[in-house]
Amino acid sequence: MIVRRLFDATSATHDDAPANRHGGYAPIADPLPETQAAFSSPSKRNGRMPAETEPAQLAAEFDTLVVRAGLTIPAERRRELIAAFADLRAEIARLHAPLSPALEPAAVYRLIASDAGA
Amino acid sequence: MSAAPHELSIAAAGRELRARHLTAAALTRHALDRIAACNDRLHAFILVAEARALADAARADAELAAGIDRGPLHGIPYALKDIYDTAGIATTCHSRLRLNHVPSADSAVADRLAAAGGVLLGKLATHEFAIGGPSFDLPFPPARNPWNPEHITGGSSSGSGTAVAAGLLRMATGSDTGGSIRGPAAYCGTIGIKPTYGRVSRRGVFPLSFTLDHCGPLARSVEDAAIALALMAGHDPLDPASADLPVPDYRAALEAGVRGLRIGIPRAFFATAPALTDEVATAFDRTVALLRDAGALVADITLPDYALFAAANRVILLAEAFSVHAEDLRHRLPDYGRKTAERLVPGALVTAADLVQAGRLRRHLADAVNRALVPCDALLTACTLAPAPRFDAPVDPRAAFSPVQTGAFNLTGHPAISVPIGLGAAGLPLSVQLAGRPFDEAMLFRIARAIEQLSGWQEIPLPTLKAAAG
Repeated sequence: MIVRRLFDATSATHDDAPANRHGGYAPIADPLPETQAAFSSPSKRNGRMPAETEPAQLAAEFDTLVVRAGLTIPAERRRELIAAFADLRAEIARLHAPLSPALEPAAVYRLIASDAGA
Repeated sequence: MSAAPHELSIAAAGRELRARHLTAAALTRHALDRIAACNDRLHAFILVAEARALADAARADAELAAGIDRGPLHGIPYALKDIYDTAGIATTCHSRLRLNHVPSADSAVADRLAAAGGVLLGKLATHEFAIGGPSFDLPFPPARNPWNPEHITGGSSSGSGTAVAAGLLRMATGSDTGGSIRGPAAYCGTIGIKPTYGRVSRRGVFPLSFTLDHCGPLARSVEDAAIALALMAGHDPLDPASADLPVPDYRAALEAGVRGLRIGIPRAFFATAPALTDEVATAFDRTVALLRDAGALVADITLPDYALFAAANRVILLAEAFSVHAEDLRHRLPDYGRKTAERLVPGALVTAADLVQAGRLRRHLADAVNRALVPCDALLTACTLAPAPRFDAPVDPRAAFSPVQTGAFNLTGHPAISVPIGLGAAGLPLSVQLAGRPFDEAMLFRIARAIEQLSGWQEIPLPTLKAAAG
């Protein structure tokens, strides 16, 4: 069990994020409204999130996802990795333009009948 | 023979070898001496396999003397990016994590080039795991640009670009997941081709992103690159992505010119990009004018926003790369270079929905490129939007601001080639990029050869070792 404390600088309060390294689970206990919104708001979870996110909120999301992934980030690398995360989130937002439901992923493939043994 | 051995093209050196005017041993000794003269400054090679090279050369000389001819690479020196497995020779990926890794088998490409009688000079620098760097916190220093060692080479096939541009060899292997062949080729002034996805086996090449990784050569000239790709390409049943298609003679139409060919320019890709410099824009327009004068039919076309290609490429790349590195990132994160970690860790934060959405967009964008290539024989676009930056002036690698516009064709799988077109004001190479129909690398070589001739690139002397050695 890993417990990561997520500090919200705006409200000067914190969340505790327990996580299971092997299973990759990270439930959020006692969520702050701001942090909860980052995870549950449909407008944010579908990627159409604002380009600018509060730094503390961004850091909280980063910390939780990192714990869920089973990573331990050295303190001296945290700042640069949060910046990289912020950049990636902005880029992900570009992907979530409405697409036709009929548009399937490139990874969808077709099977070809084998004549082996015929 | 009047030219220095390193100035001979692969084909010309082959003729000299067969005419007994030159031996593979002498050609190899010359290359080893040039490496010894400048590698301390340029850091192209991580490992120089001198004993292996001399043995390969001796074998080639003996075989050629006995009438055994393995083809155009027989007796010709080459080197491998250090993510290509080599049996009995360390393959480190330029990383502390794999310093002691000595593969037991060759990668498919290493096997092919050895079977073709090539002379393996050694292993070349790369950005760590083909994604980090240029970095100074790794076990080996970063390769430097021979045109000015204060400038970067681009990556991740950094040592390959340096080695070819410095005249240490005529061809080297690279890998390209978002531009890692074409970027260093452009910054260093070499030819660099990312063939169609599936054209070259990835077996035994350390993966970065399974669906975006491509293997291909960097070479001094278009003809050298055509020879190199022909030898690297071909079906490999042990690579699940390998295409079971014949490999054509890429040299057959090299000199056919561009008269009547239709070339589309997706100008919006680069024309308003913040990183585009005036000298690249001017050189691009000059190239278009040269192609028109030579009879090509050149017209602007429309493709979806480049930022969409870049974003989908990045999300897929990061997610797939994280799946490769997850265990090491969990247990050995401090052993990665800072830049590598900075690029790999965000892959842990991509959601399943993000990845699927990127995959859906990928199909949409590939279809758009396919449609654009129905009326066009090839697309012409910028490659790097500025000359190589200095080590002490790092550029923003984020896709929206990236000065390298190559990832679109990794995403779609279409073949693409970087072609040098001249030197900028600071004496650093400028380039353009061509993309073509799936498995029509021959058309790219044909147009690239025309550009090579029209731009006079081959008449521009290589940077001298004296200057490069500082």
